[in-house]
Amino acid sequence: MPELRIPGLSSLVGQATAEKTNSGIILLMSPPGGGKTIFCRQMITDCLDDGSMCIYINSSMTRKEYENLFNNIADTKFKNLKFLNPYLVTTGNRESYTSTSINEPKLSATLKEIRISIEEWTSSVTNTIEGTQNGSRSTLNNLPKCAIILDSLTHMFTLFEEDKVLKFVNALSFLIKELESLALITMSGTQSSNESILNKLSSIFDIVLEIEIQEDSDKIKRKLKLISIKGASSKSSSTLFNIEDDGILKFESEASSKPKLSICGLCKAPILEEPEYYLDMPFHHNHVKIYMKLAGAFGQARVSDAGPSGVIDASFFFVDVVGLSDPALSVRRQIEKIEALNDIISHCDTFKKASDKRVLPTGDGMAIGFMLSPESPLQLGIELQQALKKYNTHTNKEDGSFLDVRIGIASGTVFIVNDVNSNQNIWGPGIIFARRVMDVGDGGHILLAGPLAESLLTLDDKYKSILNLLGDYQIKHGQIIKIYSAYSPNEFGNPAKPVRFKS
Amino acid sequence: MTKCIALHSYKGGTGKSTISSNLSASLANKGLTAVLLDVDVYAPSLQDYFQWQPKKSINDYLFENANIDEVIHDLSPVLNKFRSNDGEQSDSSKGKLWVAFSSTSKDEIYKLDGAVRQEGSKIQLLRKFLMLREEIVSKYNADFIIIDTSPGIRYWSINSLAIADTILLSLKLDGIDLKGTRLLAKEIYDSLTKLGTKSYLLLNRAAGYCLPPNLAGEQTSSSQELYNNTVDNQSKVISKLNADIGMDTILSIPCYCDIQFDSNEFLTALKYPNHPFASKIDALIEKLKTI
Repeated sequence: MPELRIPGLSSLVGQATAEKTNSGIILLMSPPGGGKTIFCRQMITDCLDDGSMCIYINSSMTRKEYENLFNNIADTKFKNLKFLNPYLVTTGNRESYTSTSINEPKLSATLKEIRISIEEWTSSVTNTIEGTQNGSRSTLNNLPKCAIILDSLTHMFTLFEEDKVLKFVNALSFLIKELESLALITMSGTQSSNESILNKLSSIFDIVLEIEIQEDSDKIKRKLKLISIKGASSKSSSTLFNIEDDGILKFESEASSKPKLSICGLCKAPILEEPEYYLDMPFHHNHVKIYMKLAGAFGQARVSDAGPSGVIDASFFFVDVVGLSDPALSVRRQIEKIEALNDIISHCDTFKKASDKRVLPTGDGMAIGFMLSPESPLQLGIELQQALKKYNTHTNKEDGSFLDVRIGIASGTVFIVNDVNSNQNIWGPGIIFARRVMDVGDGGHILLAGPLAESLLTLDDKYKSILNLLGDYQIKHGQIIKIYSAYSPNEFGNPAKPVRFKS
Repeated sequence: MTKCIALHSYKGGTGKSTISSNLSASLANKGLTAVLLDVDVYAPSLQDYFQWQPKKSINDYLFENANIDEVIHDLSPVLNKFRSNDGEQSDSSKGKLWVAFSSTSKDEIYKLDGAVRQEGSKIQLLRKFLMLREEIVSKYNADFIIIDTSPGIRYWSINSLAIADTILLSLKLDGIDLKGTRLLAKEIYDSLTKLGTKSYLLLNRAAGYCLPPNLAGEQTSSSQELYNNTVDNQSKVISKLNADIGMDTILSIPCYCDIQFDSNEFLTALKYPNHPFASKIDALIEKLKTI
């Protein structure tokens, strides 16, 4: 089915949403020199290429100027483009004046011309399809669409009274809905300078976009920003674009301009849809009101006291394969060991059940952050070592296949960060601390940082028999920490004191 | 669309659990689907009403030791043992009652209490709590979610109020409860109702059903006057409270001695469908349907 394309929209709202934007009214604001008219031309070119019809409305342009502007379009497609200048439109037909409430003959006539053009286009396309043998119902339902480009509203305000222009836009919106078309309306200025007009027309626009100009030395950078979609404000989406020498708009690749994942200000989980903003914080749509209610009840500071968005406390499990960098070990054997470790961990119950974990591969092992239960890292360590025991019944130390790991466990603060692939990840002191603890151990050790071990000891008596205090240990930067070793003879852990501890 | 109703109070013993369990069971008895959540995490009691020992609790869900299907128990078949033969039965087979219990284990209660004192785990628990409501709405096709909350201004009671569409503030008409209700209305409910939550007073154990002992025998004009004065005064107190805190009374349930002094907690509305208490629960259901 032919699509109506808004240049750059897929970079702002995603491919799926952009493809669905086949009808409605879109407002594009831009300061002078932002490239509104070039943007319109790009949209018209794209839509004509896709087999759609376009109507270009410009109240300050002569037909000759219009033809010059679109001289890039081949004649075969140019016939599907119609030009209307409301100021020059003929008003001979009195009926058009009386049939609308605009009370302005030229604008009424323009509206009527739009309707006639779309209806004629639809009729001719329908006839063509019905004339073919495969003119099925589904084909008729997928007729080429029509796009209306009004460039610009600011010009119209200079020629017509404001309330009549507003009525014209309102009537146009009904026409768009009725004929299931798409309209792009441009306006000079920015969101703040157009605030009064935006307030009056806010319910009409489905999407509001703004071009921002950034002057960087000699080069002008243009940014297309999503201001709102279906009335919900958006602050996270923008994409840079260039106007090439041939007048074609070139947007940054979708991957590089993909909106960053936002973290919900209430539940601190990633927001996969368009976020809703309150006090500059992003939220899941259904969490804004709950946040406001909790803030009202507990106080703003207490609801936000989990730290700024993206900062969380978690418990960490850090594991690496002992002796993996031994030069006697072939690369193939190293890979086998890493894959075996990954496989065993992925089959541990604690790993499978924890939906709130974050996994960071580290090359010779991995770090796993558990956002909720402080018991999970130790539980995973025990399960891993029990599984390794079974696995190692088929290995031997002589050929290097024996898989030995050491584990460090600690809790602390981490930040949720977007990685290079825009995936959410975690990094911060909590993970580094677990790494330091692990580094103290030898093969088979499950070592825990003091604070986490002590909180487990107060949580459940069962830990008293397996958590053993090794003592204080000086880690990097002179920091002294208490270290516990978790073991149960012949079941898991390593009862021996770590070599580093002895030294 | 699922309606989420939280029963709350300033202090304990105002009948939240009795009303919420009877309300939920009656909704199911009328052919509706109700999910009852025991979020009175510090003093859970719904297990006694339904005589049910759950293997998994809301605590397990919050700590990710269980998924939603493991903690929401289908108690529709269990209701049969509480139903009277002379009550309305027409729609009962179509109704569903799902209940999620809080753990009664001391260790689990300590664990949850300890976890909400740590900011990192607190936010994760809140997140799971939000998910609990969202999963119920999306998976259980419930007409009503009824939340039996902890009394007072506590972490889990406020969270429960925040996710509810409607709050029923249960109170007895004693001095402490009245004072506490005014406090709740000002400190908590005001901000919730501004954001669209509906809130109502639910008077429990009000005067007007049992006669005081001195009136149970021979009636005298002076004792009758005393009784009438008590009921009149109560009526004035309620009207003033309604006006002062801007909350309407959704229902007034008199003090029924036969319920009050029974040694067991039970589903009176099902067991004795002709008891006036059952009529009150029915009236509450009709009002909740229109909200």
